[in-house]
Amino acid sequence: MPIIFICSVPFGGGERLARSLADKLGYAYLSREDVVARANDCGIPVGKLEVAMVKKPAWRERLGRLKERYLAVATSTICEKAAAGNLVYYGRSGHFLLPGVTHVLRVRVIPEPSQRLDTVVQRTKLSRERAVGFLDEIDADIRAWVQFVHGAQMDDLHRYDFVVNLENISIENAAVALCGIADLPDFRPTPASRRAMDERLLQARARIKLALDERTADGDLTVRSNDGVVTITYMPSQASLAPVIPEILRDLPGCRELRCTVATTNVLWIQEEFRADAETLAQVNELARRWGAAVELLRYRPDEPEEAPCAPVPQAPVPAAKLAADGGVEDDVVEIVAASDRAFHDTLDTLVQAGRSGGGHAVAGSRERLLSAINPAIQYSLVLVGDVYLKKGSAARTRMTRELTQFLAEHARAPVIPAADLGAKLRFGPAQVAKLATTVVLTAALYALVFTHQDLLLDVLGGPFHNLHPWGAVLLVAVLAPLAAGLNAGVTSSVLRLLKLD
Amino acid sequence: MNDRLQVLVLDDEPIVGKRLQPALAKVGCDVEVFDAPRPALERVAAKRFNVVVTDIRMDDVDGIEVLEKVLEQWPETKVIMITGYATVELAREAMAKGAFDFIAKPFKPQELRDVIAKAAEALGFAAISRAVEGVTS
Repeated sequence: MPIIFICSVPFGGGERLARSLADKLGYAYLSREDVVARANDCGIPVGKLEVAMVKKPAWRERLGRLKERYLAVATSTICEKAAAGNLVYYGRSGHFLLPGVTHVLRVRVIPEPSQRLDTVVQRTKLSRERAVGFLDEIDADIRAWVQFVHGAQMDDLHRYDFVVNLENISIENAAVALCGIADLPDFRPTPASRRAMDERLLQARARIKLALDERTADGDLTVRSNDGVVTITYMPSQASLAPVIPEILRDLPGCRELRCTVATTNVLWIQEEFRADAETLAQVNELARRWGAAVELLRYRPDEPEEAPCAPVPQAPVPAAKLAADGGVEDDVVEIVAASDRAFHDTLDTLVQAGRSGGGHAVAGSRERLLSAINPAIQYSLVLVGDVYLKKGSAARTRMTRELTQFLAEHARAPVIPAADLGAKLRFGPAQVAKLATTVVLTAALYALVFTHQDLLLDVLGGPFHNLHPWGAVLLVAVLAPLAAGLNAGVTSSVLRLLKLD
Repeated sequence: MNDRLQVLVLDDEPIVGKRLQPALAKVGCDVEVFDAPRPALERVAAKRFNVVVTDIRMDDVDGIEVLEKVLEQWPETKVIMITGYATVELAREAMAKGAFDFIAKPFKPQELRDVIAKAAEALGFAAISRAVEGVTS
């Protein structure tokens, strides 16, 4: 029998439907509230994520890792409960947690508006007018939550197997109908689907253990599992985590073998000031996505003395026991952090949220000092040099950045390009469309010319003309072959770029 | 007008008031701390506070009820909600009922001071805003 996910906006009747369905089927019932309670028990303050949907979070709140931890707890809670028997889960978007698991029935509930409004008025004692605004706001917040947490649209109906519109059917009748649907063979577990769920559970458990251990809590670790083999990938700059990981995951239930590997595709991005909303970050993220690469940030301040302190590292999670002891009020340590450091951490957090963070550090001083900060043991796939020498004038900045790029290219054992060139390399704009069209037309013209003048060409290559002027064949091949190759290459590279496969 | 902001802190965990009292006093707030809602509401009935900081999940009377009662008597008082069990629904409900702001636990005292500075500014207590800025600069 399947795991049934009932997804609904709050006050939308989804909870009543889920409970009724669980009762009728005799299944266990689990709700988002249970998942959140477990996450809170683990010291994962889910409320921070929730409030971040309502108001812009304080810069200190690093939400990327918090989100990962919450997802791991949610996945493991659902899988553990479902492993014990059949399950009905009620929440906002739980069905996104088990990709690859086919014995799930995903049901979206569309609420009956006036009934929903009545429920809100009754529970909150808000006026009807205010309640309408309240519902609009929470619906927008929950869409933002699903987008933030799962990177998906809540209203994308392709993500559901059935939609129950409570405007047209009662909750009881919907529950009866779903009982029948749940019994269909399409939603029954298969050995492959069960294995997929075991892998999800194993992966989630490993992730939770690593997230809750203070030694690895801030590590940029990727967790995968396949057939009971758990693979943890760590960033080259965090090699010190490698011996700790097996220790933390020693007793992981269901783990047949543990492998720790270092990430092999890494991009190093050097820049003086980082901004989370910069276009370059979006381009770097896009490149990292295409390559499956991690991005390491290196903040380089050439005009400051070499002793300048590095940017502070992100904070480890607060253990649950400590939270209870201080009542949720942390130590009154005033953090005096420059706006540029905040922007650096925001950029790092954006990469963490995208699952692309390779860590970040800072260095100040000469370019030799910068070079010494680049770990020679790491084989970078690409080094990007962004805006540096910001205190210099425009001409001096351009010259010095060019010189720095050349210096790094000579010494860093990796391809080095200016970050400004990245956009041009990734973009498929009007210029690229024109280039593709031109190369396609020229290629077609060249082939048309060859095929419509075959007699002439054969004459030059081996006929009477060739006997009179043997150098003509050499000249023809010397011109046509590179021309055809160049045009073909132009078309191919443009098409690959269009398909984002370059 | 008294230059010191009158602040009431209500949380059923005594440690919260214990930690927040000195953190707010150092920016010029007169802080009264309560760990039970009923005595806190009695105090609110007797004295007008500029800011009330209240937990939400408490036995007996919950924070939303405290918010309603405070604003019923002192509509200009700024009420700041704090909770370890924040949800979108709860935050929006508090805001719809007139809460000035909503903070999820765990938080640093500076986060609350920043919100209190905004409340103080809205109430015309420029000295508090300056004091909060002074702490961080």
